[in-house]
Amino acid sequence: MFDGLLSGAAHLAVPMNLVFLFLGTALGIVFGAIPGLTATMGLALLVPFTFTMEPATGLLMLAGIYVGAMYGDAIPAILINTPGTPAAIATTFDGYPLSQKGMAQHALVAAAFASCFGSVVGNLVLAYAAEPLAQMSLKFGPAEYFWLGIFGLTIISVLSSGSLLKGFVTATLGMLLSSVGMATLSGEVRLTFGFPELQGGIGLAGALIGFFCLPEILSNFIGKRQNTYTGAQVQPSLSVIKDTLKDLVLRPVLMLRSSVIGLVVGVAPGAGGNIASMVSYSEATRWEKNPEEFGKGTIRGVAASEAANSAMAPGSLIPLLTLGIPGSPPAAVILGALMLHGMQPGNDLFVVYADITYAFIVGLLVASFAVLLFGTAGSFVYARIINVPSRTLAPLILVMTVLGSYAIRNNLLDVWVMLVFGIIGLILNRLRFQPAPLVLGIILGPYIENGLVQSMMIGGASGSVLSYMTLRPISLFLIGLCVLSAFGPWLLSLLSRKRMAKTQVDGASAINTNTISGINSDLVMGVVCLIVAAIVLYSTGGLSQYGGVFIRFSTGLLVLFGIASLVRGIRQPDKVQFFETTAERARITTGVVMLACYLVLIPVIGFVFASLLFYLIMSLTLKDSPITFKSFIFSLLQALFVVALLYSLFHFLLQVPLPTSMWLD
Amino acid sequence: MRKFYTILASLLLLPTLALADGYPEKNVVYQITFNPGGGSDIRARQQQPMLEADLGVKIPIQYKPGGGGSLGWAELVKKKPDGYFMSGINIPHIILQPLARDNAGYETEQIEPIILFQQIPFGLTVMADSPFKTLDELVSYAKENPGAVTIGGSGTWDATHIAHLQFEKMTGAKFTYVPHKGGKPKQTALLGGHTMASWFGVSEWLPYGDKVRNLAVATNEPVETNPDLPTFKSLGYELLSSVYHGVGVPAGTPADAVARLEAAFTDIANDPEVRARKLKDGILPIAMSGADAKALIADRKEIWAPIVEEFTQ
Repeated sequence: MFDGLLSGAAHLAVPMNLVFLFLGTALGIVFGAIPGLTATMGLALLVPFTFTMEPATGLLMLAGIYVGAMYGDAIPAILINTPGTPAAIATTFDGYPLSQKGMAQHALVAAAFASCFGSVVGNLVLAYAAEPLAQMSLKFGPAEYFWLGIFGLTIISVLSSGSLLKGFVTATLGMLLSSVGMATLSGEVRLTFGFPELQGGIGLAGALIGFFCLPEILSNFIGKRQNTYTGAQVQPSLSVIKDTLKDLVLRPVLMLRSSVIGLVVGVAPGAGGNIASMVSYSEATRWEKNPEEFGKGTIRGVAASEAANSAMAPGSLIPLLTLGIPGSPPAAVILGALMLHGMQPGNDLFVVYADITYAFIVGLLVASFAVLLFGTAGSFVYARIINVPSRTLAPLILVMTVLGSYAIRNNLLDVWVMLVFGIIGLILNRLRFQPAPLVLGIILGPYIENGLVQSMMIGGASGSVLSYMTLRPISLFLIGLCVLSAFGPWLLSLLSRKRMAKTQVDGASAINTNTISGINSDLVMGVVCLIVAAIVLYSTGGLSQYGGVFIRFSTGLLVLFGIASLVRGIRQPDKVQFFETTAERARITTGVVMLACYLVLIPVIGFVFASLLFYLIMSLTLKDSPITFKSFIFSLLQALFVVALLYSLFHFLLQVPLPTSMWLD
Repeated sequence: MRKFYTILASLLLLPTLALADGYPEKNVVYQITFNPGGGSDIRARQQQPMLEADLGVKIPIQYKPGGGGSLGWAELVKKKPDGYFMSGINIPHIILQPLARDNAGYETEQIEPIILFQQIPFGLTVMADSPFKTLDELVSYAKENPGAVTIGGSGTWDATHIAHLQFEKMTGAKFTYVPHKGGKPKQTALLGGHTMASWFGVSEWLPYGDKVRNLAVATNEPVETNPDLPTFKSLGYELLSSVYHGVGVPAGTPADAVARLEAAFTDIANDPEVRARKLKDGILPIAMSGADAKALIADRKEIWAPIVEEFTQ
């Protein structure tokens, strides 16, 4: 084993290999950082370049991309509240609040260090304990995935600060959204409402951008005319790096716990970084001291999420390298690349090709440190991004949201879905609902559905579905976790009932004094839930047992939570002001109309011209002073520069298709 | 007005027809109907540099995943048939989807196959420690215990599913078919003991070596990689099951463009190095012409149509 690592390390002594490893890491950070581009896509695009390389060189580059992307997705999560990939959703919870406090660099450095730490822990385990862990991973069957999904949902109690009911309502809506399109197992098409393009389901990239990014821009830049992304300017400095690193080094328990969670989730085939970072974040809030700081901007939250999703990557390679079973979608691409170089996973990899395999593992380790280097050094540059005036940054981000939601599936409907989600996200925010549980519902829905349907089939064949789903060791363990997670807070509150009673009184009086008139948010949501449930039931009547069971399950929950919301809305009204001023309402409406016009124009005059026009108008709109000839030329030049830059980056460098027009092609 | 557009379109097309000798004059888009990084993508990216060298233009790869591939094939048949847009095609998918779903968005005949460049035969596989030593044991156990035997497959209305339905019909036994989200989860389920048997392609069982046992393979002749493995035919079941991968263009594409693409892909398919690598991985390298592919499609469609109809009733 140690010899293997040494001979693997020898490959890294070749300067060319090291160059490609660093190049891969840098590219990975770019792919992770651009919402809509993923590690999977970055790996796939780079696979052909590795043909002409030596196997070791090619694999080192892929290792760099994989590790880099696991960090890169934290950058937009921290700076603009938009997870670069689903794995960074939990990074937004504390990263964005930090950045709003002017502490973006703290968050970026914490993310880089945590990514490095998680990745190192994961890789050491990969190097030393791959075989036994791989055998464990096989024990994960349909029943286990079902319970893993349910356990994931109990995290909502952490995500929805404030009202648990609000969290469950939005999560259930998310689960229903996940069932749009063709059912993975039964192949039936559901809830597409006459749009054939919806057969592919809701794109996760569009949902992330729509629910996390658009509401912020619509509300802060367009609605409130904020001049920069955050109130406080960022002043990057070396001492920030020093303080942040010191702070995290002194928290070994947090770092190790997060890494181990990421590793375990990574080993389970099919479960990816998005689940890993969520679970890790929620465990951090459960076990850390001063849990009330989470969600308001603590580097511990950022570290918990990033350590987990970076440890997930080597974890997912464990079943891949030993059994040929990829633990995550990017791992599947690496499998493809291995096979192209004639290397079959399994024993061969550790015997015949041992030096290349260990070069890959050592490469992952070195890439982790490259991430730390790029991350801390780069934090000076990235952090300044949010100091850019909003009339420059907002139109740029809006154009990127279109690209990001379009890129993966080459589907213009995904962009419209993104816009609709943005509007819904804004409404939810104003009604005091969080977007995170909804996206969690979209992500976990398929695990729960596939687990349930396959359990029904296999359990049915064995005699009893119920005993198949419950009487298995890992299932029992997961059920125990679910129960603890769901009822734990309630039990704790029983123990400290006195204190809770006091805070509740405070909370209640606060609500009464603040909002006397306004919209009753729970009442509105309750009505919406019941209407949605009715529409879903009406349009999915013809589904088979297997194609419909999950939809009926979710709709049942929706009716339940809908009625609960109605009751609560009547008994304990939570009234909110939807718009603060009429000017704000007018601005947001105009902003949405402008975005819609942009999307309409894209297929007509093409992406380039539509983006130029949109950028120009949006940039002039966001300017507070009257438009002069000079400012017009300034905005025009900016628009030309930005569009040219994006076009060359996506079209030439990354070879990602852009929306085409019907006339100007 | 429509007439005007038709005339306008044909006027615009005239120069391209006149210059048909020079095909291809611009980039030819290669569409993948599955996710980035999947088998189809890796295959296409392997062909990409060779195609670019042969055709002298760029071959950008474009993804259109969703609906088990149907979204991409629906996109393909909507494209102008000018030879500048092609897509990976899979048999049986492009036959079964329009048969089984009225919302597939395309008809099989709207796709003109250019070439089928590889074939992966399927068989029934169990774990090495399974009590089922032969196909007969599996079938007779299932006859005594209807529905108790779980058999995994890669999805619904794909190669494994139709093979399963045909096999059930031939044996008269009742199994429980468990679809998965693609080939890999199906393999994991068998290895972890979550399914009792599974429909595996040759390339899927080879990496597992002695860990798995194959009961039969659904080809006419025994496969090279497992010469002792009986065929379903030799055991009395007329079952043929393979997945074929190839490339197609929208029907109505000019013949010269089709011929040019077919020549380019045939050269790649016959490349000794490409062939050797496929054989080693358990994939049969073939170079089936567009015309032969059409005949194969018509033949399979005739066999499968009644089965699909019966099942979707």
